[in-house]
Amino acid sequence: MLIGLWLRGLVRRRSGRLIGMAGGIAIAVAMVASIGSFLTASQATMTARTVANVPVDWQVEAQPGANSASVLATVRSQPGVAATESVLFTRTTGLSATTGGSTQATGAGVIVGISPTYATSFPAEIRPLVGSASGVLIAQQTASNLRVKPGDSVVIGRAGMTPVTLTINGVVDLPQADTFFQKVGAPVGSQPSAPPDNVLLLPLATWHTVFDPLATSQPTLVKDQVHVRLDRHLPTSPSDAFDQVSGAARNLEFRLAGAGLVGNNIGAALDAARADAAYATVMFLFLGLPGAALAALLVGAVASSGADRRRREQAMLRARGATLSTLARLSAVEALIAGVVGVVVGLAAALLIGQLAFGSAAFGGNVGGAVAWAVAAAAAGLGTALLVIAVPAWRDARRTTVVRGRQGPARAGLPSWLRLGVALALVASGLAIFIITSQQGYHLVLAPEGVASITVDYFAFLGPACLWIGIGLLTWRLAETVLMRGRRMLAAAVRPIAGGLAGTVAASMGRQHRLIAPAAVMIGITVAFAASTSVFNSTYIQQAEADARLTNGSDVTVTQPGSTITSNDLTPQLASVRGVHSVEPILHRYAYVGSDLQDLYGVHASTIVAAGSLQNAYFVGGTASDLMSRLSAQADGILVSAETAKDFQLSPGTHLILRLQDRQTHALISVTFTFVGIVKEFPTAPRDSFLVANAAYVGSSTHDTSPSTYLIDTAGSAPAGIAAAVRQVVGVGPRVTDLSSTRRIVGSSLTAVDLGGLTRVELGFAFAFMIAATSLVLALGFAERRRTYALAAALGARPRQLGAFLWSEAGFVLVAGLVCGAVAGWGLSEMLVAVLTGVFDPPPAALAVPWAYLGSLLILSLATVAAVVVVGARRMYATPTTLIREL
Amino acid sequence: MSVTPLGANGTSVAVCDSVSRSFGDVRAVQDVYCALRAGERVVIVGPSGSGKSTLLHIIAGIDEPSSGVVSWPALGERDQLRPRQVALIFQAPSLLAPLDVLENVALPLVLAGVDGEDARVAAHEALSRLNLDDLANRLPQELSGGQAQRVAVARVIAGRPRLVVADEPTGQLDRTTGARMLDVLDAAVADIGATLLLSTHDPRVAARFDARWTMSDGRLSVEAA
Repeated sequence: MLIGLWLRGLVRRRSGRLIGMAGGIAIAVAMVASIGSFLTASQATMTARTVANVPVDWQVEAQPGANSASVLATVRSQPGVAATESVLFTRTTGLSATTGGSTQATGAGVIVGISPTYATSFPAEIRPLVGSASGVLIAQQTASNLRVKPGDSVVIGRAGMTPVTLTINGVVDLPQADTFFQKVGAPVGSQPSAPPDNVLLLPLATWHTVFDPLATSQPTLVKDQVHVRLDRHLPTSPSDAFDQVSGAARNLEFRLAGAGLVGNNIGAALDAARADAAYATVMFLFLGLPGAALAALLVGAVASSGADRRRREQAMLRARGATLSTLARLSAVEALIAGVVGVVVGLAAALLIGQLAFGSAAFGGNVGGAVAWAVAAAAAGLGTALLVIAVPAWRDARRTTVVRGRQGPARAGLPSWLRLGVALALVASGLAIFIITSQQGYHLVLAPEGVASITVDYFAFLGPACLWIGIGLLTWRLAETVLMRGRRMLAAAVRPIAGGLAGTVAASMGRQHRLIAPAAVMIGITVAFAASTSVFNSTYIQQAEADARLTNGSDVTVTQPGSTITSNDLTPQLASVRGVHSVEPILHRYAYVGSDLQDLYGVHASTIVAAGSLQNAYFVGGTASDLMSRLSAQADGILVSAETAKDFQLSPGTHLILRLQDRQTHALISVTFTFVGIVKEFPTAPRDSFLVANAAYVGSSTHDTSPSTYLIDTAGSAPAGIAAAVRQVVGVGPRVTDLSSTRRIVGSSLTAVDLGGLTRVELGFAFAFMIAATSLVLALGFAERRRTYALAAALGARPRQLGAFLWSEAGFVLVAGLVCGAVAGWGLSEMLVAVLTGVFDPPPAALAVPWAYLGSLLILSLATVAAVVVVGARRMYATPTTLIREL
Repeated sequence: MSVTPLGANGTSVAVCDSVSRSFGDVRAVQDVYCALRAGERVVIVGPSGSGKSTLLHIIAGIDEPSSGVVSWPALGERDQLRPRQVALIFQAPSLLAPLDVLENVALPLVLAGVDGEDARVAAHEALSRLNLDDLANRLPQELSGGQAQRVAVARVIAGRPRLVVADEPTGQLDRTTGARMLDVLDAAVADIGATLLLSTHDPRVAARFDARWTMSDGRLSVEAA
């Protein structure tokens, strides 16, 4: 009966506060459900994209002496195996061909035997270029070396036996040659550095005819593999998928009992994706949890703004005989109403967000994941409601007596110096953890290759957590200090608004510091959340773009095949293609540094900075321009990796002797370079060691000035279209890649995640928080003091004078919140980028600040504040009698 | 037909002509004619809910009639009444919680545009006159009910209004404290030569006044002095 009455009263008389609390819970629920579902969906995307890029899931190699048929049968009987193909490998002593009156010969090569159905079973392994897609096929690079085309004959050398001549039916590309020719069972570091240059693919029957005698006489020259495609019914998480395929591979090896080893390509790919998935989880925690906590704080602020009234009501109810359990039930009812409404609205909003941002209510993932997150978010919403509404009310009820209820809340706590000390200690702790975590070599996520477990260093979470809490408390203390002790300064600040009333307004604000300071904190935390989230997202997008550009080199990149050295400089042809703005030729060579073969890039130092979009973060000890200037000033200058500099104890000016192939003699010659600096990343360069030198010096030293890579700037035109036009010009030989395609390929990792959608969601929530914080906090604060303002109006305050109170308070709250929030947002952005540096590849040189977004956020805040003040002042002046009667 | 309010003339501080005030279906004040002459001390009596407070608020200019006309011939238009011409004393504590006693007393003057320092001097004088100097720096929450009402009187004196409207000012005070507060109010009003209109349902308080208006079900009957 009483609960029913109370419920009706709440809905009729406290609907605004209930809506405010339900709104806060709705935001928290929507945020957790949205970002959680997105996390699940993004992990599923990572798994799907990772396995989609694997051409052959397993390569099972029969061990010497094993029965091939038995191995094949065992593999086929393994659960989860969808397709198998036998593949035979053997070595040739060399290939030769006579075309156009000249004979070309190659060194040793590999002859592969495949069935006619292989290309159907594993379509990504062989890409037909010219001629037939079946029969005797020659790899494109080999065809180039031998200058053969379909219809020409190739002589295949056989160790200890007479050569065999076959006619070429087609030229093919082997895009996944690295894994195709892998050394099965070899440790990661001992895999061949490059696939074989000379490759011929024969039908299985032809292979047997040509090489069965060799297999009998020299079985060590022959490898027998079973290529396997799995059914790929994998868990959505890369980590779980890795565990499943690794377990299955181990199980197969166990069943083969030494007869075969499994080259687990799909496992290796998932292994690499596991760390990214862990980072995605960490990103969720770093970016999502503060938002959820902020929403909970907002609900708490709304609930606590009615605390004084609630205490009076509780006192009244106690005076009329209500028991403690009755009061607890009443507060629980209030919490449940706000909680249930908030959960329903929040989940509906999450569904809508999923639909709008990702095109599906399940955020692009499976329904199960979305439902699980919806349930978790609902539980969190109801828990928040009980925690911030019911628990404080119940706690008050336990302490309330009639007399105390009429007196208002008792205020007690730590002395101010101690409270300030706690805030400073938390900020200092956050900064200390930041320094530790931003040191080089720190890994937030540790996923050792091949090891099942992933380690996430949760210590790093402590930094932002301390900073969040510390800055919140510090804002509170600073705001209180200014309000309480800086009355003259405050009066001077509000004088333009309040005029002669400035002293009174400042005094009023000073004595209401307990109400005003938390409002500044709420706005400060909201600003910090919006700023740090938006800066992090912008930086992430900036670096994803930089990653794609670093990998591809430029908008469109043309690369000559590995060992093909042409005398043609394609620059004029490429420059004539419609839409090409500029062409930057690079000499890509290989050089021996001691016994280590490294990529060497000969560049034009004066133009490469712009053409290659070189970032400062790619270099050590100076900006990109600095290092290129040093290179330009030293004709024989060279930039090396940090590892090489350390290994060879190089210092600026040190001479470095490298061995390069001379164009004329084909012999390795020693060329002396001068060490001028360290390079970490370079367009098109591999991730590990490489070298950068002046193109002119490399060309003159090796008698070969022909470029092998061209970076093409399209000046904003669609790279894919221009890449197609470039292919028409350069033919089938050179590889042409474009930025948009590379974005998708690079996106095998974290950047595969549709961060655009996540960004829209997060920035949308930041907007919602900003509106909710400024409007609710201020409006509820004004409502709480409406008696004061009504009395002032009754005593004769004009609308302008009432407005002075409201504008001054709103102005203080907004300015304090914005200033503290901006500082905190900047600090947190730096910290997030430093702690999550693992998700950035390459690491950013500077934060990317989304000024347009932050500017619109500021304008929105000002507009919200203005609306709240104008409406508040009008209401207070228009109906003072009503208010006085009500109070 | 038009009825001239009893005793209304050019020196009247407030005149109600057929004034009514409704709140939804409830008619709190019905067809009231009355006039307050300068220097008068008038008490409005009547049971709770009879419309006393509503009529006081209309005469003080903080509420408007639903029908009829209220005017202030000696004081000016409605927007000129407060804070200088009309001052209010409420039944409930009416000091602004975030301001101390001195600031509360000075507030009507500051709202009227008086320089801050001058307002503080006047507020000090008003407090001294009522022997409340010791309370100057206290906050409202640190005062007893009687002290708070006496400070409210000091606030009235500081502004030197021509009409003081007091809505059951002793309603929340015990008899002794209430009597003392009324003594202070009487003296202060006499001192500044203001007109006093006070509502009460306490016969002992009403007995202190010469003129008595009685409200019943929103209707006013005026007894001659």
